Amino acid sequence: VSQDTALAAHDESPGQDVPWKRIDARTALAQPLDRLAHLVPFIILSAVVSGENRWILLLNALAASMVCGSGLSAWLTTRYRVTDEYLEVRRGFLIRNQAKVPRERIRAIDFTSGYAYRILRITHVRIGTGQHRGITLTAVSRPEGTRLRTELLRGVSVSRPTRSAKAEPLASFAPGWLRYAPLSLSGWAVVTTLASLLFNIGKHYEAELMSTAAAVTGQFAAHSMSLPIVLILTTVAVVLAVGSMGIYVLNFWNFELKRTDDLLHIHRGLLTTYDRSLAGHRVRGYELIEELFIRWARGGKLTALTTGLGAAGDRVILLPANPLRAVRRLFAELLRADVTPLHINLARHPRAALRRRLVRTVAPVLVATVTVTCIVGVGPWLWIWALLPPAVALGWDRYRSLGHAMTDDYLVSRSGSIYRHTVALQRGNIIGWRVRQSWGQRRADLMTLTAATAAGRGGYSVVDVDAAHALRLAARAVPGMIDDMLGRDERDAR
Amino acid sequence: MVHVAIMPRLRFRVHRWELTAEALYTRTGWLTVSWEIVPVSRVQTVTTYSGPLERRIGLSTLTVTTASAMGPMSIRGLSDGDASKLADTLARIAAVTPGDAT
Repeated sequence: VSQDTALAAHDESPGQDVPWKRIDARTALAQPLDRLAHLVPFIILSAVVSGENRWILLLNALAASMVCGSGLSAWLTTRYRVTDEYLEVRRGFLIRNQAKVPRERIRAIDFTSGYAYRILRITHVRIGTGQHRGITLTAVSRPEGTRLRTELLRGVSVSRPTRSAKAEPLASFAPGWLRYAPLSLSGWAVVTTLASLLFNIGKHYEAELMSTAAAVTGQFAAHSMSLPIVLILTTVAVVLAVGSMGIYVLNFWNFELKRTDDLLHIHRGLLTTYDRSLAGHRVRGYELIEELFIRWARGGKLTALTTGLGAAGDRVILLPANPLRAVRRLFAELLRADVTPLHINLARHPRAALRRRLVRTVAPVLVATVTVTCIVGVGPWLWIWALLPPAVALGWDRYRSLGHAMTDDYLVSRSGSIYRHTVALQRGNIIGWRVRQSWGQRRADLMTLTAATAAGRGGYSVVDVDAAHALRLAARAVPGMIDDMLGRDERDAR
Repeated sequence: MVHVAIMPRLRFRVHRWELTAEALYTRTGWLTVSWEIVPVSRVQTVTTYSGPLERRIGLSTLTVTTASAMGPMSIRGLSDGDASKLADTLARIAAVTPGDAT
């Protein structure tokens, strides 16, 4: 961006007379409200911890008033304008901060509205430029946001006059989707984090909590020994399931995927709503993610790999956990094709890859088991041997997941067990390769081939393929790029 | 001491680079060998850098960035002449070829 700014300083392009616009006045209210909501847990926590300490209270008051002031100053100091060639945003009072981006660089536009913003009917706008985190505008009114989006993305969309400009719905939320929510590992992770936070706050009332818990479990314990354990496990399971369902609802309520010409629109969210528009031709590939339990329930979610939203936002969810059938149907509709690259037969990897998977999963467990047994004897640690079969199963499953294929347009690669993902990357968008061979892989004659791309995580790997095959695969996927190296490598080998 | 005595020789033995009409290749690593391939058509910027010590002994580091989110590719310990020649060539090709896949 700095480079662009420097360049732009020279040309006094037309549009210098376009007036600067202010952000919406409601920002002055919404921003503090939104930020205060985030601060509330800390304020409560510090109040609980400090008790009557006057300084901490003062500090809290100071923080709160600074937050309130920030909204006002954002409104007073932020200006933006769209000229024929540039989008310019200027903010700051003491420290001036100006961003100027050529409009042709704009790849995607995102709306996020926290609850305070929603109540006040304004929205936070993020403009993805393919570099860093893009530009944010906090906040403008909804109609102004829509207007900005239409104006800025006009140049981005390659509209084909043959297709109607009407929005074509591709997927929308149905209550049935919720059945996958309790199985989501990522949901569990969030619930666990929240629970541990609550638990920390609850520590102050530890004595009371513990005595209540002891009383409850004690009553059950009177009846049977195993009941408390069952009770605890059931409670944990229920909390995880309900909690992750809640998180799912917060994230995906009212989910909607629409297509207008080349633009994909995604809307989702219960309290905070997210609106995202991305140009279809910016999509560089797709990824099917199947978390373990969801995979067992024959489900998966579909994401798009895009450029232009910064590392965090470059994976856009096109369909949250859904039956694989639904994923397939949507994907086929997206590509306007019958056969999708995520639903073809993948080539298995060599047996040596199985050995490597097993060594990695089983060896640590085996070492731990044997060590424990040697040190403390079999006795009370006998259960540790029970970890071995799952480790073997995990290794086997990780091997079974490995696979790759190539279609006319896509390079497809699958790996992982607990978090299995299948990536289909457009071959035309592979902009380099990294080939890695560790000492162990060299002995097994395997290689890991990583395709570099501008989208998503940036590099997608085909893990543990036969060395000669890996190079041939790379050469076939992008003709011309690797041929010379192939030739030389064969010379080297001789 | 051992590190100082062995590493430079080892690195000198295993690190390689090559530029062809289509791509720039590097090879690094001994236990884990890693090859990187960047097609010249996708090169965005080329930078050469030499620190005070490097300058004394006439070496440079060449860094090539592409649109890849995996990060730039760099070649360390090039002779000044090689580095500037390589940078010129790459910059010329990068300027001619359109499209960097962003």
